Amino acid sequence: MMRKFTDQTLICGIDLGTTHSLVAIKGEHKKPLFLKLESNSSTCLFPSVIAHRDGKWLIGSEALQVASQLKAHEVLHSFKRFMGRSLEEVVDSDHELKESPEKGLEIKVGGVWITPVEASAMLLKSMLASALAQTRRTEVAAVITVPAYFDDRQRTATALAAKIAGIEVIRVLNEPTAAALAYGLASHQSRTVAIYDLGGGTFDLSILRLTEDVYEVLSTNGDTSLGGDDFDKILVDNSSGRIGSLRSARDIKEKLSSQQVVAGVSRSDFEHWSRKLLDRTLSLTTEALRFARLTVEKIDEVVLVGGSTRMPMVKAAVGEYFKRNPNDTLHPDETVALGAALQADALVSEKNDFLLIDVVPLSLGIETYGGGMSTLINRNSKIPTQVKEIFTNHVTNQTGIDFHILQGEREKAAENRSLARFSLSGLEPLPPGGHRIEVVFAMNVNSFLEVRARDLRTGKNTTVEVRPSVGLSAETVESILLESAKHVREDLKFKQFTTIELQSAKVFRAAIEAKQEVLALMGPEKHAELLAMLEEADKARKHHDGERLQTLKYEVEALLKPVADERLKRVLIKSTDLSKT
Amino acid sequence: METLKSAHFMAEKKYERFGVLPKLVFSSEEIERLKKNYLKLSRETHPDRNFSNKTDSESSEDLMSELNRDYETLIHAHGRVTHLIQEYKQKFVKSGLTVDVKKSIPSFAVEGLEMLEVAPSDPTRTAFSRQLETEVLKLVTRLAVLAKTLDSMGFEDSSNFADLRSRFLEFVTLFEEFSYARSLMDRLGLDTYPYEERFSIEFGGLS
Repeated sequence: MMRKFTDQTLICGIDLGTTHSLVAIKGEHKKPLFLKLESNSSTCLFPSVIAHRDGKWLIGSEALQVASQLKAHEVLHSFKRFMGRSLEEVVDSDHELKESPEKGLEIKVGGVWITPVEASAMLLKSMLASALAQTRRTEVAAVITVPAYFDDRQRTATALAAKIAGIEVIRVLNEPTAAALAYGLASHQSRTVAIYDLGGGTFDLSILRLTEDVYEVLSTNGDTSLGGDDFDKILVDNSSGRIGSLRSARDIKEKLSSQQVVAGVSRSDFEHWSRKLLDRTLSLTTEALRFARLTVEKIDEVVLVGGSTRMPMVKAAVGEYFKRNPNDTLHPDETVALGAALQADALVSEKNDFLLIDVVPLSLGIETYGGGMSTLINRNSKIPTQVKEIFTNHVTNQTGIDFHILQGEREKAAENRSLARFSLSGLEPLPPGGHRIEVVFAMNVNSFLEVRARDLRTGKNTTVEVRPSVGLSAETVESILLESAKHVREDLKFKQFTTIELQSAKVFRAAIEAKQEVLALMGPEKHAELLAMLEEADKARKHHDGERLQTLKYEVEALLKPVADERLKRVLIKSTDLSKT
Repeated sequence: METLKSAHFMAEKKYERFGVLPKLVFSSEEIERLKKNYLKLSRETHPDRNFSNKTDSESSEDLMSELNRDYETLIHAHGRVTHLIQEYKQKFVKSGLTVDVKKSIPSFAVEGLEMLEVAPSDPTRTAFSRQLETEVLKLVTRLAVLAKTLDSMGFEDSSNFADLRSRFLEFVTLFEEFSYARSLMDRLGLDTYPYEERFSIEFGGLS
């Protein structure tokens, strides 16, 4: 089966960040470019913020601009930190939280309950609507990035949000790996690179070996609850009430990157208070080096990614740790989206400019009798991968076996993340050890897991594509997708409009260029008629009136016909003259 | 001998594609060759190289999974040794020889279990931990010497087969002791990294 992308498909890279999100594409002459998603904003960064006021959702800058006038519970920031999480794993003092088996974790924003997946989908939908209008495309196929240390639930939640937003996800890519691509660090000589990625809400450290065209991840480590937000919180906690909100703390933190004292807080105090957070990133770095069996001396280059690496203390500490100046030549907020765009283009075009080989961030296994975890796929294993293991029954006459799929590094099942459960039923009653059940764990290039179980005695199979509960049940997703289907007429209308707009643009451009010729050849009346048509076309475009635009296109073409005929005549005369000479 | 050769084949196939021979100890040149061939094979096999064709991409996902698994078995010293032990055992069995490794309890095992009950700061436990660490280092050295002998003997010469078998059994016994010691160190809260590192230095590759 062939994957089909038409010229109406926007192939892009999306960085769904904790603080900002970004869409990048590979533009003309292979140059990557960022899409400016908001006309009223001076940057391409789209704030990852939503707000609910007077029964209306505000998204991005719209939400951010009014945030200071709203109550804390009406605005939702940093919801990436909630993705794929359960109630017991999150702390949020600004919002009321609840959890149900049907919808998972929900957050109350301005009186409305919303899941993190729905919040992300809303954000993505808004970003993409703007991107589509700007690029005059009708559909999106994207590489979407996630923190390398995101577990299966968090990745699934991200991919689901994109699906709900109408995006065809062609790859879920780890953020540090995307950053390595953006820096284009590959060279003929094999080099080992560390990517230190401290974003708004997450920290990742990946070690890559780059050999010619291959980007091979050797190890990755991180913390999905450690980022710029924690530095803001440190400021609030240590300010003895002088800093009232996280928003002000963030402003002060950002200013402290270029000033010594801001709002009575000195940079040295801030650095002193934050030292523990920084040390945590460095201790995770040490572990990542250990996983890769490398020492600091073996690292040829260190790259800084993520907005939080702008803090001078981060750059200094990383430099000191690796005993070299880190590379931060690219914009730390833009690097990831850029890499994702390059990967999207490489996949779709199959140009084979480079190859990425990534790893599993966390071990995957199964709960065994007695509450232990038996690991089938070790962390930092290369993907795709497939592992088989044989399990047996411990209880006499057991007719079914329940499988509990886990992710994590702890020995006790209960201390790891529960991904999914499934059963193999209808087994013949046998004494303990009588059954031989083959369990296969297959992890694909997107780091999504599929588990298959087979009774080797009877050949009975059970396959589950592990899609853990991420805040929306299968039925809820289905109903959201059905809801989207209801808007299919609207979407189709929009698609038709963009196609007409694209086709008519050429005619109107030609008409603008031929204005003087029309005046000279056809007189002022026709000239004025043409100008009126062009003005009307402009209005029709603004009002998304495809029908009118189509009619005007035909009318302009008809009006320009004498000019075209005259041009053709001139060309024919010229070619006849040339043939005579 | 025919049986021996065919049994050897299973292991050889895994190694052959990476351009190396089935050996317990890899030199740095062999490790480099292994890495280089892995990348070469990845370029040919990776599903991203067949992205537009979903069917081809899925079948290359299976091939790439196998390639990754084989590579990781061979590049990790501990994984390679464990895999080769299994291969050698099968080979002996297929040639009609038993390879029952005597389950001996390492000298440090009993004391080690007792130490788990003692407080981590207790001087007796600290002293035992140091002793265990020394023991593990000795084990790695002995294992490496034996492994090199086994690699040099190979399975092609049937004249020294009995000798090969006895050395192999000794190697497996020591390897089990080493694995036991590692797990004991883990349970005692000791850092096993330097010892795994030492193992990988002696045997080549990652640990």
